[in-house]
Amino acid sequence: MSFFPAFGAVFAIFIRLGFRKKRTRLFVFLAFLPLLLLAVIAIVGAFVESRDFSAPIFFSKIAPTYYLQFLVGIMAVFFSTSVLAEELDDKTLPYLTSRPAPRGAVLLGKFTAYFAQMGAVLMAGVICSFVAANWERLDRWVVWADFLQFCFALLLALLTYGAVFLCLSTFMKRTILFGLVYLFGFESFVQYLPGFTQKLTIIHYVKSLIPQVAVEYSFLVVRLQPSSLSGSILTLLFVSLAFLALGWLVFSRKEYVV
Amino acid sequence: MSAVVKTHKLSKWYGRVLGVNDISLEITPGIKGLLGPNGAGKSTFLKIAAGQLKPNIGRMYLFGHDIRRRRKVFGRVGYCPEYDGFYLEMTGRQFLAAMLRLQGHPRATASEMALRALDKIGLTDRQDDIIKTYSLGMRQRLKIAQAFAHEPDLLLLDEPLNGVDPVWRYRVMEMIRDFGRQGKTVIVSSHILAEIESLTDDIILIHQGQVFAQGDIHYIRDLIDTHPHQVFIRTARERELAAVLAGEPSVSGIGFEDGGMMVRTTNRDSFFQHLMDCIVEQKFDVEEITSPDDNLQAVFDYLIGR
Repeated sequence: MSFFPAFGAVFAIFIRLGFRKKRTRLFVFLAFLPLLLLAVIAIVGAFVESRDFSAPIFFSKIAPTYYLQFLVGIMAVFFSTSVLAEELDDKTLPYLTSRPAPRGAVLLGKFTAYFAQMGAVLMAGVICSFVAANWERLDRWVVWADFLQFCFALLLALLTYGAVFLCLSTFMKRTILFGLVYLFGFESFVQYLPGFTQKLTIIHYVKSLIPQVAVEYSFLVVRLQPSSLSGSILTLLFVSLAFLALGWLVFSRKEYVV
Repeated sequence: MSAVVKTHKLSKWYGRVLGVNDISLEITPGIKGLLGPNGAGKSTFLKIAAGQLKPNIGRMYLFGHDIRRRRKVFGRVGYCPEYDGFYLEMTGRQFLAAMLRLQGHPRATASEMALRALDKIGLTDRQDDIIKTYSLGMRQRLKIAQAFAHEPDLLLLDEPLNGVDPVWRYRVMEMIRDFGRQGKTVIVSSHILAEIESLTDDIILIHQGQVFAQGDIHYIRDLIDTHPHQVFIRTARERELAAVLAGEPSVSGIGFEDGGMMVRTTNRDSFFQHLMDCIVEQKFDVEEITSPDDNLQAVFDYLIGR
């Protein structure tokens, strides 16, 4: 069996299976949480009149931080590490690896299925929240341009984080813990440091795609010195591809004792 | 007849634990029983054959191909692992169709073959229920079905009858025998001698990672029969029964322990025949008859000690 048919078969299995996982339901809830908060704002707004407490302001300031700096990372850690971890925990790996399908196709097919699924959940939540928050401004193309750029950044971040944590999970135990420490420890800390150090993080390049997000709403002043747009896109794509290739290589050669 | 499975000085260890050690053998078509006590190395051998583990030393060839170099050969292999692991959110039909898709079958063919396999294994009625709702026996049957659904030439079954009810145990055995009759190769592992005995005469005895003996099952059966055997009997009239049994030539010793008596015999069949006659004729009320060393480990211990 050659690579692409095997990739397609694995993708078809897990795109369907993934939607039945409890984890997916949790992420659907988290993706739509801002929508819930918008409803609360709408109710409060009916009683209190405030220019700083409107739905568009909420979406443009709080929601991007929530999606970009919290949800994307969490989603990526959990979906990418589960690609292999759930096969080992549930002892189902032999069903996939005792077949003529190339091992690389198995890993990448399942990763792509979970990525597509998480991306769809994320986009559904973001789009619904955006539409609800900007209902009266949807005719302005500038709003849409910013929003599309934001969606692109979210998907690229999900892919990059996912690729990195997938690769780590092929040879490392407790990747979830490592991922959480990396996301909320290392990356959070480094973004307050000026200079080159912040270029060692994924979030730097993601924020460089939408620099205004990080500068204004932070507890501390974030000294983001953005990289160029094209440079950031290329870096994120390169990191994604490099880690996916490395993960493929490790998974193809390593022995997993079930 | 050319060998379907061939190994050359095959060794595998997990850290400091030995899996298999220096196994060189050839397996030809037909049913081959892989027999040994728990931890003997049977599963390790099957996992290497199924491409799940890599040998530390030595080679394994399936259909003449080195398994490390040619993954395509696994298209001719069906593997039933020992673990009760499943995609629990799938239905039985979806699971089998998915496994067939991974073998390279188009969607429509995979669907048809899945239905055939479900019918064969008696799960047609439950095909659209999710696996989470299946009983242990049903899951075991489904696991066997995924191994043979793509009609492989080599079937590797690791303790396939665990948890299967008696009726289906018989039917699964019949399926395995059918498979062998078609000229295909089946390697079935078990630690229960009677299970293997009812499937094939051709066995490989594995103990502590090494092939201890191979060939006709009657050879091991003879060894077991000459192996001094212990039988524990609990009855209210134990002294009386002991006196009767003491005169039987097959009894080599009698001791009293744990509220019963332990009888040692050198001829199990003759002893049991005599025991049954005594119980029936002299109306002994027997509460328990057990054989503490009626297992492969005891036989292996005995054979190694010889």
